[in-house]
Amino acid sequence: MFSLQKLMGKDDKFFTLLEASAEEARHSVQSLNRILANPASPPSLAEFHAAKEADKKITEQINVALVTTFVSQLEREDIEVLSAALYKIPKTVEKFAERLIISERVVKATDFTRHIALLDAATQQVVEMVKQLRRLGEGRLDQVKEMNTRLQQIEGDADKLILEVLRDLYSGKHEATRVLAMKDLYELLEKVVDRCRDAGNVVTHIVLKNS
Amino acid sequence: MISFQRLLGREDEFFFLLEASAQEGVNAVGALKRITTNPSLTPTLDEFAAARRKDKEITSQLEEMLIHTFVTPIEREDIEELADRLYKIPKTVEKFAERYILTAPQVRETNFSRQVFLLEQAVTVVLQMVQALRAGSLGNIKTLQNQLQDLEAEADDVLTGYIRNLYEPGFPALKAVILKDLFDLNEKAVDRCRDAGNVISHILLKNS
Repeated sequence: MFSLQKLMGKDDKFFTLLEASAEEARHSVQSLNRILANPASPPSLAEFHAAKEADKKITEQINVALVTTFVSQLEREDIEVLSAALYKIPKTVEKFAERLIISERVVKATDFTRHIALLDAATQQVVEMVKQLRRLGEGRLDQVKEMNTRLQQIEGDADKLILEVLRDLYSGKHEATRVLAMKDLYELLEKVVDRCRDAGNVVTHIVLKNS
Repeated sequence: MISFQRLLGREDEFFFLLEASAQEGVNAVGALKRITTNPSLTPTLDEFAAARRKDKEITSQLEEMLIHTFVTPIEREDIEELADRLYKIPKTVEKFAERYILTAPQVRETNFSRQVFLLEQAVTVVLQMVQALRAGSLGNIKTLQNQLQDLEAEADDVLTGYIRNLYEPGFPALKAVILKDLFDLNEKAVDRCRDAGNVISHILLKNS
């Protein structure tokens, strides 16, 4: 049956797709947590690649829907910006995992626990924020702003952490190749938190526009 | 006599300048290909600086036109953003060339061809996307944007392959630092192309 509601985009599938994308970002961080918690077992890229590919498929679905849907509760350009921001989270996590694998020999026995705790908190916050989009127009601006403040706080903590670990790297007690590889890895982890902050800013912007 | 057409809209001129800016990205990558595939030549910055300077002039012209034109074919801030993203392509390529020339004795024998090949394709797709902006076909732009995303993903994989070699036991540390910088810059140039493509897609979504 011809559905006018479907044509006009009122059954908003975009919310479901965006939530799924945020969940994939969270899964990729959980995978990272698992491999870093078991340094004895050799890490494999498969899990990260699966999370990124799943997110890529979601992003492609969103792109197709953007071209074929006339009206959505959210503005089309906002959906596109948020979808791109969300996709970058598992993509950067995968990049970290690739670099970790290729530099395993020089970076072994490094403790990433504090970084992982921040990534976990940041992706959890992003998932919660994206869920708030379904309640646009219900006066959720204050809650979303509060969530975004927490995300900014996490990002600030990640900045402080990278300074601390760089201080140790530049102390002169490490071999040069190790410094090069570790700096790269720390920066990528910090970038993942930045990507979460970017996604949080986009959600806040959308809620602000629709409040 | 006041020309209303001149005051109100200079649609063609905007598109022409954006296309010219994208073309400077193509020219810069052409120069990059020449210096990296002919290690026996003494590389100079002239061609890169010329491409970046020309692009800067185009960007300034666009900014001036935005001040003096009442009606623009697309929103002012979008034109400004696209011009800025396009300018960053030859600027990043020039940055690579500066570092390459600076470190030529250590890196002259390095093969950058896979990265340069991808970059060459990426700037060509950006030019096609800017040209397609006039026609305003969202489907066409999305197809080109997907191509650009694939090229960017491939450039990431190539970079990982290059970096793997740098971490091999016995690889000289100083050379590893220099090469990592150069490989990263080439990859960044492809990222700049992807960013320009994203802006074009965003503009079309807003206006379709």
